[in-house]
Order: sequence, then structure tokens, then C-alpha cells
Amino acid sequence: MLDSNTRLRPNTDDVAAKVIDGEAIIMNLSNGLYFSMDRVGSAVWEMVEAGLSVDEMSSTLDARYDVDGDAIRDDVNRLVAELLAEKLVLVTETEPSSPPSTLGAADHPYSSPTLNKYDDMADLLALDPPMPGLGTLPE
Amino acid sequence: MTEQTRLTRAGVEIHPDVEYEGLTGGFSQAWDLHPELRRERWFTFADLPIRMLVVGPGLATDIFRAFSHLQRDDRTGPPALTISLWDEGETGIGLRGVTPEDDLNEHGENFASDDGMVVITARPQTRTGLQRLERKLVGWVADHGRLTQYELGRPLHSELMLWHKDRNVQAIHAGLVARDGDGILFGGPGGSGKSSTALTSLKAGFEYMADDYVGLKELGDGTYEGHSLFCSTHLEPGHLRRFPYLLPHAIPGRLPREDKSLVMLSDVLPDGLSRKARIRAVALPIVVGADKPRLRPATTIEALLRLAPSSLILLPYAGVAAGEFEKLSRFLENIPTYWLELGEDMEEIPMRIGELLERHG
Repeated sequence: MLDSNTRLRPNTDDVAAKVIDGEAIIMNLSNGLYFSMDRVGSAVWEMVEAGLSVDEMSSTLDARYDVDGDAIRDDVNRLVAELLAEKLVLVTETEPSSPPSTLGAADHPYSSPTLNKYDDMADLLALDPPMPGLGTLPE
Repeated sequence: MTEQTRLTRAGVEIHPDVEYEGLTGGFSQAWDLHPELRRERWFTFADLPIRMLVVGPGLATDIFRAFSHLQRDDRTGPPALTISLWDEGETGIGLRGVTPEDDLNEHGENFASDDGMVVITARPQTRTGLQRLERKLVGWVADHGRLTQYELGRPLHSELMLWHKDRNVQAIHAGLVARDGDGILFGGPGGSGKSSTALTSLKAGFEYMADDYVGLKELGDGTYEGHSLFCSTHLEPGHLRRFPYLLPHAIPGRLPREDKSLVMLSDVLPDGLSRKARIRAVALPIVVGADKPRLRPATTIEALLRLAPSSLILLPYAGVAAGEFEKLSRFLENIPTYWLELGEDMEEIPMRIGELLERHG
């Protein structure tokens, strides 16, 4: 069970992610699965990156949208649980080094965030698995 | 520091640095003992000179062919990579402690030294070692006659991906054609229409760089070049029939997993092949059953979803680096992106590519 004070961080050992124009793409390079999230979901991802707690994420969205706070809280808890289950994020004890940035005013109506999952690459991963730990050439 | 233990799937322990020494020793022996079997060619990979030394004329023919469009006459200056290979079947010189595996269906395995600077790639009939700091790639081939279709079409694939990556040239899963040096990059997973688009464009007179793998290089002015790697294409039987001009050149697979035919385009339209192009736009082929091929704008995230997974996940080495994902994102944020909707009619594909170049070339 997630605690409302739980903080998360992207699982950067295995995961690469990018938010562009309010949409997120997240790739788990260790198993070939990749994901997308649109508006609200990508906002949650940005808040994960910023080090907000689960409770702070819900409060931020609550202030941003004219939607029932409990519904937002349920959505955030569900989405965070999915991100954890897919090992895209990890629980962290580390406090954010700088105050979490707040999101600007929403320019779109609220919709429940969805983690879209794509598995068409996963089978192919086994053909030539990436090799970790190579490092870069010295200058 | 204790060296990590690395085991092949057969349970044999691998020490990359020792393995690399064994490879260089084996090559030197073959080179010294068989001057009559030596072959040398120079190529240009990503604008850089590459020297290739092969002991074994049959192996040389097989290896050189996939890079024939990248051959260069200028042999001056230090090479950015020296590739040294020998064929045991042709020279009688084996690789100490290694016997070829009979099961060619097995995939390759990669092993890196503790500092990551030496990478050994072990395949059933071949073994190579890349010394990243010394810019040397040395390899043993048990019998070039048993090279897989994959090895013939894309020789030294994962090794060269890493070499490119070390030179800030990102190998991505994409096609590329051009006119007068201005290119359109095709992104998408297997079966999306990259090959159809590239091959139809080649036949229509466009310069052809690739239908599967492109070396992506960011230039100082924020623009991008795409570099050709191989001149091969792999086509499924039904797909191949749509290109009658390729049929006489098709090399069928021999293994159960080789369900495609290999065509070396240097055998078919050598004058149509080119080394590089300035990328002006990205097109994302998608088969939608449209009457005529059609262009419509794509968002950056759509392009990233189409291009990044197979580029990063399927390419060894590149996938682990989040930096590569960031680079690909930056590229797509800085270039026009379009969907290229495809149907049965492929005749008009080159016209759409021409239109894109008129808009952005």
C-alpha cells in the first residue's frame, strides 16, 4: 500500500523517458516494453521526476483542475501503482534537492490518466540483448 | 579489483582481454603465413576512413560486398578503424581454444572487459574483438561458406554499431533516400513500409542510403546527416514479389529463422547507392490501405514512438544509454515529421517523397 508521503524517482538504470508537448514516452530498455501517457499522465511523470510525494502530486493536480479531489487522488494512486508494477519508477527516501516545481495552469480538461503499454518490441529484445555497463570512451 | 566472471551459454569462461589477444595472434599468424590470400580495401564509414584487411579471398568477397558502395580509393592518413579478419577454412589457421558451434540458429553473445574498452562478440561461426581505444576490430571466421544471411547482409553489425556510437553517430532503425544530397528519413518498426518506400524511391531515381539502419550524425549547425551502413535489404517472399527487378538477385535464407531473402543492392543498381545525405524531414510509413500514398503531419511524440523503440531496444549497446534517447528526441524536435500513409499503390510513393523535398529541401 502506498503511503501518501511516498516519493518516487524514475528507474534510470533501465528506463528512458521524455515529455514533449504534454505527452510522455517511457521506455524500459531492460525488457523491451514501452509506454505512453497523455496530458495528466505526463504531468504525473514530470512530478515524479521533480521528486514530489504521492500526496503532493494529488494536491498539485487538485489545484490545477476543477475536478473532485478524491477522484484525482484515486487516479494518482492507481497510476503510481502501475508505474511501480512496471518498474518504471522506484520508491526513494531522498528528499528533492530543490523545491518541487509546480505545474502551470491546465490548458485542457481533466481526463483520467492512462498508461498505454506497447509490447511489440519485447520478443525482439531477446535476439540481440543490449549490453549494459560499456561506458563511454575517454576524451 | 577482481575481474568479473563471464560465461558463454555453453558454460565456457570468457576473459575479453585474453580473448582479444588470441584473436590478434591468430590474425597475425594467418597474415604472415598466407600473403597470397591477403586482401585489402578501404571504405568510408560516417565520413571516416576504414581499413579492412582480410586473409581469405572468399571471406573478403563476402564481407566487402555489403560495404561496396562505401569503398574509397584514398588510402592515406590513419584509419579511424582497422578491421582484420581471417577465415580458418581458407587459411587452416584456427582460433586457439575455440571450436565453431554447429547450430547456426544461436544468436550472438557480447562480453565486455571490466573497463568496457574491449568487447568480444561470439557467434556460432565467428568471434570478434573490438578494442575501442585502439580503433581495432579483429575477427575469426570458421568458414565463410557458413555465414548466415544476417552476417552476409550486415557483417559485423553490433560491432559497427558500437564503433559508430563511440563517434557520436547513432545507428537508428530507419531508411533514408535523397535527391541531390537532401534526404528523407523513414522511421518505423519492421513491416511498417520502410523498405517499400526506400526501394520504390531507389527505382524512381532517388539516391539510396538504407532501408533498415542509418547512422545519424548531428552537425554543428544543428542539422543532421544520415549515413549509409550496408547496401543490403532483407525482404519477405510476398514483399519481394512486389519488386520484380530484385527477384534475380535474391539470396534465400538457409536457416529456419531466415525467412526473408537477401538482396545486395550493389548488384542491382550500384549507381543509385549513396553514402550520406542531409536529413530534411522524417516520414513515418504506415500501411492504412489508402488508395494513393498520402502525407499528413505527425507530432514529435508520434515520431518518437515510431522511431525510438526499435532504434534503441533492438540495437545492442545503444539501448542502455538514456543519452541516445535524448539525442533522438532532440533530432525529432528539430525536424519536420509526417505520416506517410501507404496502400496497395506504390507507384506514387516517390512523388510524395519528392513533394516533401520540395517543401523542406
